[in-house]
Order: sequence, then structure tokens, then C-alpha cells
Amino acid sequence: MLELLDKEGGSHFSPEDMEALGLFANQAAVAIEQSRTHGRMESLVANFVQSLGGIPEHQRLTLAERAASFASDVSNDPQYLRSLELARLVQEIVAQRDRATDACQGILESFAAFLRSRPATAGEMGLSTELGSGSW
Amino acid sequence: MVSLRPAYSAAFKREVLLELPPGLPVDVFSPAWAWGGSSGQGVKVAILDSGVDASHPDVGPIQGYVRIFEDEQRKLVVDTEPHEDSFGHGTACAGIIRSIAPECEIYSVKVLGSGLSGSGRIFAAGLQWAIDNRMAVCNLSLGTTKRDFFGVFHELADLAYFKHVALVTAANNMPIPSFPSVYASVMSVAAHDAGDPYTFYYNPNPPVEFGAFGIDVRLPWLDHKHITATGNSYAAPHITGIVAKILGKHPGLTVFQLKTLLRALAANVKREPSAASTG
Repeated sequence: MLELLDKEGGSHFSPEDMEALGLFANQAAVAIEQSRTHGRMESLVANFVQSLGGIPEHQRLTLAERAASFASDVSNDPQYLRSLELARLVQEIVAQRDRATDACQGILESFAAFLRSRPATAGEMGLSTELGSGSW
Repeated sequence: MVSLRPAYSAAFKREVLLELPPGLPVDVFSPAWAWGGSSGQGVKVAILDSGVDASHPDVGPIQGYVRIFEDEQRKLVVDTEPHEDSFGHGTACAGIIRSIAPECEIYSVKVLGSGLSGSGRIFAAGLQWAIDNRMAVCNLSLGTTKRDFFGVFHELADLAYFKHVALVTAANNMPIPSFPSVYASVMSVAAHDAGDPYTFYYNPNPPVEFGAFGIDVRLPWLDHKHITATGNSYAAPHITGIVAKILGKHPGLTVFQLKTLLRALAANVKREPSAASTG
């Protein structure tokens, strides 16, 4: 599950978080591409199973059935659909720049700009990108 | 009333504040002992910020000006002529400190330029100046999130700690670690909304160790105005002012002694006498 700006307990985005976000974005991009090509999750999975060589036919059929029912469950799962939507957003952002960390910075800076625009925080200082992403 | 709290301030919400045991027989410490009768007189306080407007009635004359900038050859230059506040932020911090320690000696170390621009290099140079010039306490209501500067500020923070220069730092309002506020050697501060400038809390789960008043604070700003604002930036100078008051009465305390004292006097730390001291 992709969590963006909603970390509890005042914790922060570690480099591991940034890396995970980037990895997810890459994998999501592939999944999105493939699902577009194949139209439906079921056929995507079916094609994958078909592509498996070297296993006995009866095993392959069982696998295909199980994969098909899994795929239809997942395609209707609200969590999965939400993840896919978030993945599309991240993919869109990541496609603008090379590095996933820059993408995250962009997200956070937009959020910071939003916070600054609110009357209650008008007096706070948002420092330039020379000092990084923050306001104090 | 603000509905969104600055990052790192959640630990200081009234509903979640932990009441802590004293841990040491610190019952001799009281606010009266720590700072009673002190105005912070003679304590050198550096404010690393956007400058300070000494003409604001809440601030008044300050004792020194240091502006650090890069010349055309990108060399660092130090200018000690009086300067202005580019934004109001430094004046706000100075006003809070003055309201708690009216007679401390304030040095405006201007490391932020117009348009709120700043560079890690200039910020580090300002901190080096403060350490070299034997400031007793520095208010750092700023930081950098750039990892490239992690080592630079860590070294400076260690240097300050060993030279008994107290660094009081504001945590980032965004949930991103900033330097030097997350280091162990500094006194890092986030905001609470309890209103009283002398009420502060200790957080047993750092990296931000202390909470001070920083939500909906009335502040001096540019053009002799006042504003009401929220930020960890405005919590830090409350601690800076209290530290200046303490040092005015007990000069020469080390950073770890100051931290022990602050923890003992935190509003969420029990102050009943320990078993060892009764009888």
C-alpha cells in the first residue's frame, strides 16, 4: 500500500522510503502498461501462465484456473483499484524526471506550498530549495 | 485555531503527553532555583536567521550584527555592519527571546537573504562564527534537509556541545528530518499549544526532545507589526530564552547539565521528592 503524506507519529521519509517509492513506481508503470495492452487483468495473468514452458499440461491448467479466479477477485478489490490509481499518479510524476527522490520532493514541496497558502501558516518561513525541503 | 500541527509536535499534544518519573533526585531543582530573578544578563545569544529589526519595540537594541554572504568569487564574507530583517522571522525569534530574557546580549547572525534564500554553506559559516565567538546559546529556527550537509552540521554540533555552546533548534514543520535538529547533541524543539511561554515538555521519544509554545503565537514582525503564527520556529526561541535566563543565574553549565535541568523542570515530569532525599 502506498502511503504518501500520512505517516503517523511524526516520522519522516527515510532514504529507504524514497527508494521503495521509486521501486513501486517502476513496477507499477510496468503493470499499468501491461494491463492497458491486455485490457483485463485476467487475460494478462492467463497470458503469463501460458508463457510458462516446461511444466506438465495438467499442472498448467490448474495454475491457469487458480490464476484466473485470483485475477478476477483482485480486479474488483477496492484496495487494489486504489493502489492502481495511486500507481498511475506516481508513474505520471516519475515520468517527468529521472529520479524517484526528485518526484517525492516535488510532491512534498507542493504540499508545503499548500500549507503556506493557508492563513494560519502565512507567517511561517519556507526556505528555498538551497536548504532543502522544509519550513521552520 | 490551526487544525494542522507542525511535524514532530504530535508528542506534545495534551491528550498524549506522558507524565514521566524524575529518574534522578532532582527535587532541589525548581524554576525559582533555575532562573528566579535572572534577566539573562550578560548571556550571549546568537540568532541565526533572516536578520533582526532592532527598531521593533518588542526587540530594542541588540548587541551585534553579523551578516554572511558570498561575493562574486563565491568566497564567504562577514559583514558586521547593522543589517535589517529580510522577512520578519528573525525579529519574531528575537522578540520571544527578549520577552523571556530581557537583558541577554543578542547577536543577529544573518544567514538568510531576501526572498528567504539561504545556503547550507552560509548557514554552516554562521554557526561556526557563533561557536568561534563564544556564544552561550544559539537559536536555530532553521535547518537543512540536504543530506550532503549531514556531516558538516554534525561536526559543528559536536564542536558546539564540547565548547558548551547550547544549540536550540527548531524541528522542521514538515515531516522530514532536518540538520542539525535531529542530532543528539542539540536541544531540539517542536510546538505545543498550551499558551504559557514558560511551560515546556520533555519528549521521551526523540529526536525532538522538547516542546514549547509555538501554536498561534503572537509575534513581532516587520514594519513594527504583530502577527499570529504557528511553527516549530516559534517554539525554539522560548527554550532559548529560558536557557539564557538559566545561564544568567548559573553561568558555565554544560549542555548536558542544561538538558538535565530542562527535563527536571518540564511540566510533564513529576517533581515529588525522591525516596533517597526524604528523612
